[in-house]
Amino acid sequence: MPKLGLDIDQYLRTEVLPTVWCPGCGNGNIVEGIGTAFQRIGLDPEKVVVVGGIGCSGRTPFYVRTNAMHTTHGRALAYATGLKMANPELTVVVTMGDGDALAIGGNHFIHAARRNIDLTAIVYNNGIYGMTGGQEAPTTPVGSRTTTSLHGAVERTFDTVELALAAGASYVARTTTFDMQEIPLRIEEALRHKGFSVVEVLTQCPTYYGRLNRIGDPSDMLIWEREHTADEPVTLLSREEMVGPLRTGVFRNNEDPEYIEVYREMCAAQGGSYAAS
Amino acid sequence: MSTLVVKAGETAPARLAPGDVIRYEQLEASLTVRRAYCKGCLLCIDSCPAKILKLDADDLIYVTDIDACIFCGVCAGRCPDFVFVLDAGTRNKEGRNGDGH
Repeated sequence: MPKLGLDIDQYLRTEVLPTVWCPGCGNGNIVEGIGTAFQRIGLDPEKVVVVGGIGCSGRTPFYVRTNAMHTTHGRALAYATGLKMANPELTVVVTMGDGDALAIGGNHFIHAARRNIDLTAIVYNNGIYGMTGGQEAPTTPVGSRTTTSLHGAVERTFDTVELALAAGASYVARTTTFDMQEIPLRIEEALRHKGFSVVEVLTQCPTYYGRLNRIGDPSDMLIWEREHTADEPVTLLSREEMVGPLRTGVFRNNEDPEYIEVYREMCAAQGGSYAAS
Repeated sequence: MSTLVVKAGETAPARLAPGDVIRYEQLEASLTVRRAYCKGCLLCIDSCPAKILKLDADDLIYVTDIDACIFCGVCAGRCPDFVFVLDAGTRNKEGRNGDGH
């Protein structure tokens, strides 16, 4: 890597830095990954929209020098679907947190995956609601302490990858902020993929998750991530295997019919044309 | 925000202002440190293989010994706050395949 950081400045609003995120938060690494992926593909910032929801991850659109949209909690995918339908030439990236994508926005998530519309959904999974004070999220690992589960979470955990696969997403990958070179790689693959692509990035929340679970400083959290993940993209695990390390890698990369293309063909077959641009 | 350029053989001032941007130029490589973005999270300090990064009295990052820097870019990759900009020049261009491996 001859140049690091330099090339992605064109995609960053450097005048508003430093970011609002806590010291050691991994969200910045994901923004860096998004910028690096844009730079490698050579995307025109004018032709890119980054849509964010609510939560720590929802701050992403503030830091990218592309078109950006800050939307309502959980509804980022709904706004993004409208954007993409209105102007299919745009590259639409949706940044959501785990609570945003899987709790309040769970319905939008599965239906966007079912339609296989050409969006790139990036799920920042820190296992906790960071912005509102460390409450239990659907992705909180069983037994973890949060401010609403002080004796350890008893609810079972949502698996983003299994959910996205079952709902029909055509590109599904998971990586961690420990694998810093893999983040831009997976995001680049997702951006190039035609269809609904999901990239889940496990990120550290040192302020709430790390402190409540006594993991230590941000570096210790990265080591924790490495110890709790395994680089083997296997799914449909048995119940015993589900409590083992979280699998990372590319789980699916299929060429499935994409929603807008199918819709355009249907319009043509009816003798009309797809009105959008 | 001023940029201080430190060329090979020179040393950076002992006292740096919080908003200083320092560009260390060593032969064909350069490392820029944008101190204004630093939050003092220690991620780069823990990951630097040459152990040349430290926090100063303002809890901002600085390079203790640029001569020991191997321009690997781990600090730039690890930092979540865009503090480091590495331009390794022609050093690592051989074998680059575009995906960072």
